[in-house]
Amino acid sequence: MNVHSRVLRLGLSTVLGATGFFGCGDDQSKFEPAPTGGSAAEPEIDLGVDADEGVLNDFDYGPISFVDATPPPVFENPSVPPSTSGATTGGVESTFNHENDDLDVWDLLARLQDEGPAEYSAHVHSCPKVRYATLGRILASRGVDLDANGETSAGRMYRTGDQALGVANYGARVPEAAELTTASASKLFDLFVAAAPEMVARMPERPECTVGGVPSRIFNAQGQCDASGLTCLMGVPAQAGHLEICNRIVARASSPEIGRTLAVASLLAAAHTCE
Amino acid sequence: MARERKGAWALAAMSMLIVMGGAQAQAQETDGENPYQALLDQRVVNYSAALRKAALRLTGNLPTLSEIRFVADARDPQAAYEALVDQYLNDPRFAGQIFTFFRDTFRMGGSAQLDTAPAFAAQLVVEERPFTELFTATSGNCPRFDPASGGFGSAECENGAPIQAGVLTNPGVMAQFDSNLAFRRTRWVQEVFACSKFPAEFGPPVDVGAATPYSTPWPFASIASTSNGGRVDFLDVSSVVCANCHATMNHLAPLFSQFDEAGNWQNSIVVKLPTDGSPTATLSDFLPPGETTAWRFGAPAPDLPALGRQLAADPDVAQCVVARVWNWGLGKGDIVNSHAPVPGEVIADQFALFVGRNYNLKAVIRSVFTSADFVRF
Repeated sequence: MNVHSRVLRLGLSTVLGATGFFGCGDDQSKFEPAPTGGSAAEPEIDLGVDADEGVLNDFDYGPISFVDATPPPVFENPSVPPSTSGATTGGVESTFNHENDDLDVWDLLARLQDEGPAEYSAHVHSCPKVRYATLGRILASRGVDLDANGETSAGRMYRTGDQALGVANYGARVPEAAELTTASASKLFDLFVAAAPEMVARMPERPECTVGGVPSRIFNAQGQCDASGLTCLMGVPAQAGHLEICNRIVARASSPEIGRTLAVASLLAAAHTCE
Repeated sequence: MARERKGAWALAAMSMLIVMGGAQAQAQETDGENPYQALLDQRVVNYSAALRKAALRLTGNLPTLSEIRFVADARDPQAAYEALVDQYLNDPRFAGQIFTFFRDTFRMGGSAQLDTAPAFAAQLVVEERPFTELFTATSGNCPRFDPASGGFGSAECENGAPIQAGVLTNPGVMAQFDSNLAFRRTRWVQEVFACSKFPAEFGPPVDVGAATPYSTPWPFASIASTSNGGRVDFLDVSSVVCANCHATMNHLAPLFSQFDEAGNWQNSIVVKLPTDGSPTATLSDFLPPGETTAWRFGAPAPDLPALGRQLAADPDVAQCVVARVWNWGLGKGDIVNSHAPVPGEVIADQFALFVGRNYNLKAVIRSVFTSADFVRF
């Protein structure tokens, strides 16, 4: 048995059992049985899987034993595994309704398959959503009036969109969301569309986008996208590709005004989907 | 190639999920090199992209056009970038950003009382004081933060605790995480400062007649049960081995059991039991006679100041703090709730700096934001 197989035995029993798949004081028979709990009475079964062969995607989790259990870790992977929701609910004879707010193990597995292991992913940037307060500062510093009350104004949309944009709920001990959801991404992109005309008109007035007394504009006098304006909009130097996309969107739109709005909103969405 | 990479991810992902740490490292050890180094080497340095991220995290806004050009047009973009990072770290807006970071980390804020713990942590960073004061400060540990100026007003935690111990006696923390048997407060300390959920301690597995072994260093009978004077059976093994978590929790929780639901210290245990009639807990509901409170097995903590000293001296706690800052810089979610672990070798330099600079977390933040990983994409 190689080390992966050995680890697999310990790991799954740990994932599904010892860390809270069932609740203390719960009578297991009162609830649905453990999906793959295994028991000490079960014989040790060689899983027949050599993880080194890379066949774990097709792995069928059979009974698990802990025969080769070795003490888990030090801090390096403080990854005490998440339990599966709903399995530690208190009952009539149960004394405590354990919290089940952990990640789903399968969701986690899918994420790890996409992102890679911590040995890789910890080295690289993630794609967190722009924080709500930060988003407000970005909008305001690029010309948006956050106090505006127009029904479709970006300011009003921003002020009323805090929940959709994932603000913290400290009363429920919940921090601000770190990632975009479908709802928050939709709200964010709507906000960028609403904000675009204001930014086109007012960004030149902003000191953040002025250098040496020269304001930067998103579009020049000929209606072409301007590198300085796009740079200030995105927070990174605009490249030829940005200008090309921007000009193409404007040219293909049904009207120049709509084209400018779409171009700015598209660049904002591309630049600020991730913080 | 893509298929091979996905296969590698699948293998690594499963290993990661399963093992929880050391065993995985053991499994992946080859010749001591990171097996993913080839992929990491494909990244390129981009100080302009790094500046955008640094500005958003450290000041809460995009860099100005002038700042963007300062880096993009610099003969030495690294020096220009690092100069701006230093400028951001000394900007009053940074105080607001790190205050918000601690609000999210502590999962509390929004009122004068609930903001004092995040404010104290932020103050220690901004003023470059030893971060261990977070657990050991006996005064001035309930400051108020002024977002407009980025300054902190010193204030005492007036909740009657005999001796204050940083955030461990903070009334906002005690109120926010009030629960039966003080277990929510205990869990907060474990998850926020040790960066892992319970179970927190591991020892040789022992068969206690359950489906899974008992695996902490504490003697199995070192916590309360209905057979040794308690009213809750923490030695129950009918579904899981409760003691795997509660061996640590029950030695820790009594320290927080004399704070009432408003976070004020009382002269006796005031937390409740989750049983019929919600009776008030007693020490025998946590521990049998002869057992005393502790941070970990072999790390006794007779009171909260002693617990604070244990936390301040625990290298795992220091590494947890550094890991949280690393994840903040790299845009990860919460290290525990989002399951975003940071292998020790990734933050080895920052950890050494943290300890070597007398737990100066601001120095660690600068190191993270100027690290080779931060400026590569």
